[in-house]
Amino acid sequence: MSTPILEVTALAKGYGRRPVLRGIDLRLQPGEHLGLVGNNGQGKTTLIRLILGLLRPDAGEIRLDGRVVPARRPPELKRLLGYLPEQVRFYPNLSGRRTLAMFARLKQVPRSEVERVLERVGLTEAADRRVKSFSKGMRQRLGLAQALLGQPRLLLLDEPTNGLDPDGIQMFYATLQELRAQGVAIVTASHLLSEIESRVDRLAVLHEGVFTHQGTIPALLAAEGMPTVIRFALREPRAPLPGALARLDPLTVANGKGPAYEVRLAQAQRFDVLGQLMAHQEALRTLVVHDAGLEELFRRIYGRSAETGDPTQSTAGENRS
Amino acid sequence: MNALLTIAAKEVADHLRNGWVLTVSVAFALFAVIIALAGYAFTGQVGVGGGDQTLVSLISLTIYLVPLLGLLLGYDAIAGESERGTLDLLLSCPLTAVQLLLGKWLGLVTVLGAVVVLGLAVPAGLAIAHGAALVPWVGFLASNVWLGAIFVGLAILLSTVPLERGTLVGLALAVWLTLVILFDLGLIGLLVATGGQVPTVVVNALFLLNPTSLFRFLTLETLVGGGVLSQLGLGAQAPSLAALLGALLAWSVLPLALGGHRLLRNR
Repeated sequence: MSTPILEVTALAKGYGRRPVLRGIDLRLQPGEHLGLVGNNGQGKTTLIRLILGLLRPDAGEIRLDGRVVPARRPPELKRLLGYLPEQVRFYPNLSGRRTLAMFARLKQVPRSEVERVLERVGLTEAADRRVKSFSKGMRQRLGLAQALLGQPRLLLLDEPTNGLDPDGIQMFYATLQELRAQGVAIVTASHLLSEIESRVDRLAVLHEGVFTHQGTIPALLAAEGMPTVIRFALREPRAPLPGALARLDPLTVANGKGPAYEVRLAQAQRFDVLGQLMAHQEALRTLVVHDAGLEELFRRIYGRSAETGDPTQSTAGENRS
Repeated sequence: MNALLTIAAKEVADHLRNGWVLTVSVAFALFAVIIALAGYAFTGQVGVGGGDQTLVSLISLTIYLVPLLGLLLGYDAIAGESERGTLDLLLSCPLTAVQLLLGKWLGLVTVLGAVVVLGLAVPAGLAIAHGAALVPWVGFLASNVWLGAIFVGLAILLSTVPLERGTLVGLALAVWLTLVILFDLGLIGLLVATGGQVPTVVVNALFLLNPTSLFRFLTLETLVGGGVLSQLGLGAQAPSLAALLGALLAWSVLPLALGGHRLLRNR
């Protein structure tokens, strides 16, 4: 396995007496995309700012490309990182091109980089307009272009698709996909779970300053025993149910139609039940399958911590790295 | 171009592009010409002459205007970046907080310098055309830029306070009011109330606490001939030239150092 581009060990940070992050461990390989999720105020932005060197940790260690990051970061370590903050407005009277030219000078990268990143985010034609005339989505694309200057090896994106329209979101993630193929690692902090669910390799759930869960999405769902809900109805009122389903009690019996049923089961078992149902598909009037996703997982985690007051309390099988 | 100069150049370009330099320079020039022409009207003398009176008249303009411009230029130097979401972006680049602060200061002082030179160019040109010496005018321009640089530094220190820009502009105006108007009034009030019994060393120390008082003394002592301070009965009260220069230097450096400390401490 290659050297992780990012290694965070036992990282802690507080503001005054209030701890914001505690015992954070994280590793990220080149080309990997990590989703950092959590409600507002759980420490996502603080973690990103620590990785960027904008804040000093109270404890713990950060390594970039295998090198321990000192308090005063040398330029070559800063150049490994690209950053897109949440809602950046830039300078209203500068054009997009001039804005990028300024950041190119600060990052000490050649001016030709500006044209490359403008093209990559689809802003070449609008690049000479003043930023104050840009839409919110265009400003986010300009922000991404800025983050890509200097070909960073780790991109840190804080709520990156805020304000983007659906086409913009698609283009945004397509760009990230290309970057990953080139070995760029990405951390995306977001609370838009449905949006990142299918786009990240791994997820880290941050709650009250600790990672409550970390792992691939299927592993997290399985570890939490997140269910699949199968709802089906029969054509005939007295049609028999196959196999073990025969013991089910109907939810409803509609007038002149067959009864409706609901089965909740572990996601790993759903193919067994679906197999049985499909073997009798001529008897089915409707069939709906719903896999619980991140939204439900999230509600469960936050609901449990609200009940117990302990964000780290989790079911067995939790995947920590 | 290194990071500090990049930030400075961006500040200059920003203020040129949004018309700030042009607008303020024109307004400044207008005031300066009016004051230069009519500053000594109470003596029955109207018009720009070749003597010191034009320069003395303009001191009373610039001592109000230059600090105000410095404060208005710099009050959102850091707070504005923070509100735009660009402060973290800038500091995530290979750029230190100190380079950012000094780059801002250099850029804003350059902007202010341009406004001062453009604003005073007409009366200075007229005075020199009427036979005034060049050196005092060059010194006058330089000392105004220095005064402005001190207030830009104070404003940048203010801008590191984590407050909204609306609150910060109020604070900047309060600083201006205190240092430019209320301080002198307070000093006069103290002298009147004590019947002038305040020891010279105390008065001197109080003068050193205010950069505008320092500027007034310095320009009157060094640029205007004929011992104006002595004529005003203040010659014996004034601090020494070394003390003036030392205090001005401290005023130039300390706000920026404190601002840098605040910015680093918060990270």
